[in-house]
Amino acid sequence: MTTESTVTPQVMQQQRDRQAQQDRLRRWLTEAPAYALLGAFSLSAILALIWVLLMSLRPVKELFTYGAWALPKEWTLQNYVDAWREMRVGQYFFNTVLYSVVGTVGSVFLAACTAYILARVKFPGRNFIYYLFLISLMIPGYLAMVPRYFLMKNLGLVDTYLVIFLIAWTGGLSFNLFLLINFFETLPTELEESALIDGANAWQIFWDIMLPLARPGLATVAIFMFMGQWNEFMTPLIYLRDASKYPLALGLQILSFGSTYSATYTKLFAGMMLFIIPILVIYLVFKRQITEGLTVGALKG
Amino acid sequence: MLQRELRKLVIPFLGPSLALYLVIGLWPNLEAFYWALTEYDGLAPIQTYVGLENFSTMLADRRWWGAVNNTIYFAIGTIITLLPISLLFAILIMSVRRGREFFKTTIYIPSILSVVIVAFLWVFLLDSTIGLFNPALKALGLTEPLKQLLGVNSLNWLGHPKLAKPTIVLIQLWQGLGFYTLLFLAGLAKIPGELLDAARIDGAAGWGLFRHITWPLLFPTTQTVLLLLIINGVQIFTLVYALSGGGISPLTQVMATYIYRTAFTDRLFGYATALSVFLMAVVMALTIVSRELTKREAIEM
Repeated sequence: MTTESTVTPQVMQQQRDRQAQQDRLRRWLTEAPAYALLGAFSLSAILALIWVLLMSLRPVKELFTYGAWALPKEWTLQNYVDAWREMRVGQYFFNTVLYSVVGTVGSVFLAACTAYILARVKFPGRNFIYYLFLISLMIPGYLAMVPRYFLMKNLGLVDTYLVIFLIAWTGGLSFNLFLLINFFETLPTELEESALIDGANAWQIFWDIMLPLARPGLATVAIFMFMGQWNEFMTPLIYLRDASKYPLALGLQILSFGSTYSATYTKLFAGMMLFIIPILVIYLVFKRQITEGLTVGALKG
Repeated sequence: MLQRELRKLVIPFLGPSLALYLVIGLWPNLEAFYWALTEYDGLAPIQTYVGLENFSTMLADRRWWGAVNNTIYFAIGTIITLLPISLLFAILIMSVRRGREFFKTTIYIPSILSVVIVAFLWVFLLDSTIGLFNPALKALGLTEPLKQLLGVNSLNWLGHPKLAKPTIVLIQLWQGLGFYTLLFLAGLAKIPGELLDAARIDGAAGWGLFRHITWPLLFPTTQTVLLLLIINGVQIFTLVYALSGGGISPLTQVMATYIYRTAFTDRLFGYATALSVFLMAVVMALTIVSRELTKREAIEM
């Protein structure tokens, strides 16, 4: 008390200001390297995308006269038009949409039905079936590569759209089940019971009551399935022969190395942009579900 | 009552998914163990049983062991770079005051892109004429010093025997960093704030705080990350395949690309399956070993 009375309020204020300034400086000095590192990496991700965009918007001849660091002198959408028409990118794009949508809808529906049964219905052999489904989470995908290929070949399914759908529907099944069973188990039984008393049948209980409640879980599964299907490479590589059925991943990969003509570079970048944009939009829209779902997903390991 | 009504759904809901899963998902895995003991060119009516011959061929197959070597290189290279750097990035993101959301969002962008896009992007970025990287080094006068430092005669990042493998590890680092950083962030978020506050009051800070509080509490996450890195590392396929345009050279050949090639290019389907049985055994063994090793370490804490 005595010391405080000898110090005037102004001096105290000055001291506090100086202290705050020092704190700010120290904080800035400790945080600067963090910002530099994080900033550098973030910048590399953003610049990579911007570079692809810029490359796709310039005439190809500029590339060789001014080099990659120069901004486009002339802006054009011609690369997109050419890629879409001449390089089958339009077709690849529609195929990718088809595989992603049918693959996602089918596998989410299949997993939801199965998960509901395994989570909410008691019947003999339930645990056995549950573990049977979980087995394939532990098996690396390459083991069945050859036998599965010949299974499909013998069924006459090689080089069809159906084979891509079938593999999408079964491929993610175990993992999606694992997530959705946990989700269904958290829902209260009272709702099912009161729906039954109100005269709902089993299908209505599932479709009208439980499925809407499971929407957050289904959304997470659907987003991950869609992103996985959009980028899927190995299944089409193994099963498709006819280029008209290729998705973007396979089509662009073959185009990029198949063509030795450097005149197609900028068109390839246009194709890449068309491949990136949808997935980027989905990511930015569903960012929260994706980052949260990823954590749940990793627990399976 | 409810259960009796719901049981009506068991057959229609479980039937289709179980049938698909057993036939397409599980059965080919079992069949693989028989295929591994056969020889088949894809044309003959049936496979010929050859016993363990495929495995003795494998032991003498130099190209296969080269691929195994490369796989180990990539897996270890990725683990020792990705694990510490993603942990560091997670801690840095937690420590900064501003822009956390921005860093979290941008850092994950490379992880959502198709591996084909990433491969493509880097092939162009590292291209000596139209890429960004080498012209920039040249402009900065770093080309010659870097060549001397690395002991190479050209900065052909993806083609030079000395540079190709480290470059692939760096590309994997760039693509995977966001994913593993988000996993570590989720792990860090689970550490109770009061615990860290209590440790700070007791005088713990900086390295001490990390070493004695954060690291032990984060250990389950680290375990998961390590396991995922091992499992994904051993099975690396698309990046190597896409970077080399499918024409994989012995320089970067990995187990999965070699298996794919043996099956679908060389048409040695029995032998390829024997190799995939070996790959499966490796994945399982590594999973068990890493679980056991990290379990012991966790107790010591």
